[in-house]
Formats: sequence, structure tokens, C-alpha cells
Amino acid sequence: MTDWVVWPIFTLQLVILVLIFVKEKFRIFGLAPRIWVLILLLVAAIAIVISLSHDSTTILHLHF
Amino acid sequence: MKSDFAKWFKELEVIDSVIGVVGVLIILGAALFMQFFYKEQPCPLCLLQRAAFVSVGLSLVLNVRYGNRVTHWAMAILSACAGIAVSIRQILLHIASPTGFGSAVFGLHMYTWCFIGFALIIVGSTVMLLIYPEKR
Repeated sequence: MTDWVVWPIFTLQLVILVLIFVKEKFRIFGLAPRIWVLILLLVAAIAIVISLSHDSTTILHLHF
Repeated sequence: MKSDFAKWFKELEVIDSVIGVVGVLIILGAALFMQFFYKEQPCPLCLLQRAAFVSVGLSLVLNVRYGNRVTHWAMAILSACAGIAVSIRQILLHIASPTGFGSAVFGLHMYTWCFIGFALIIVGSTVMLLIYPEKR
């Protein structure tokens, strides 16, 4: 079992961390960075929940 | 006097989020300590619980960056709910096992500690929602 199998969620969280410190006035597709952070955090939470079916003794296959 | 109290209360708003972030960092640090010093390799569900803790931490960092908002605390609660679902799943997987999965810390397994941690986050965030009114 290696750590890299959950890289999509951790990468998403890295992007969120960067977005948190983007200037407030900056807009991405017309939305403020704070709104993007909230949307991406929601996506991360959903990704965690849909990966619930895994056993703790098998290799993780994220359902994206 | 009133303005002093208001100022103190405003500082407190940030301080409790900072305390939350430090708590999450301690939990993640303890998990990494167990992984690298005690050679406890994390299972997929353990990694998902770590991801949920990171999400909770990021929600609290949002509070530090933008000030207390209902949406930030709500996101912390949602992330903790995702994490608590994973920890309950793992507790139920090993509930019939006499030894459990991995080594115990202070008599409880890591996934049980995660369950307690997420439950505390949900309770704490809900209390914060009660204390701090939404800014208009």
C-alpha cells in the first residue's frame, strides 16, 4: 500500500490552499477565490464519501 | 470599555480558528509520526481520514483569511461528516476483531481516535455557529 493512490484529493487540497491566499479581488471565471475554495472543498468531501466502499486491507481505487 | 470588549471578541474569533488549525496539524503530525517512527503504514481508509482532516483545516484557514463566516464553519462540519463516515466504516470493519487494525494509542485504535476527533470538530463548529452571528 502506497500513499500516492489518494493523490487526486490531496492535489485538490493543495490547489485549495493556493486559492485561499489569492487576492480577494481576483476573479476566476467570474467567481471570487473564496467561492472556488468552498466549491472545491465540497468536491473533496464528496470524493471522500464516494470512496467509502473500500476495505482497509485493499488498495484504494478512487471512484472518480 | 465596550470597544475593548468588542476588540477582544474580534481577536477571539480568529484565535479559535487558529487553535482549530493547530489541533488539526497536531493530529496530522501524530499520524505522520506513527507512520515514519513506528512503521505503521496507513491503509486507504486512514488516508481518507487524513484527507478529511486536511479539509477541516483548510476550512478553518478560510476563517483566519476572510474572518468568521457561516459557510466556512459549515464546510468544516461537512468535511468532518465525510471523515466521521470513513472512521465509522473502519470501526465497523474491525468491530468483531479481537486485535483491531494497527496498534492502539492510549487503549484506542487510530480510527477510533479519528472518530472522536471528527465528533469534537462537529460539536465545536456548531458551537461556533451559535456564538458568532453572520456578518452582513
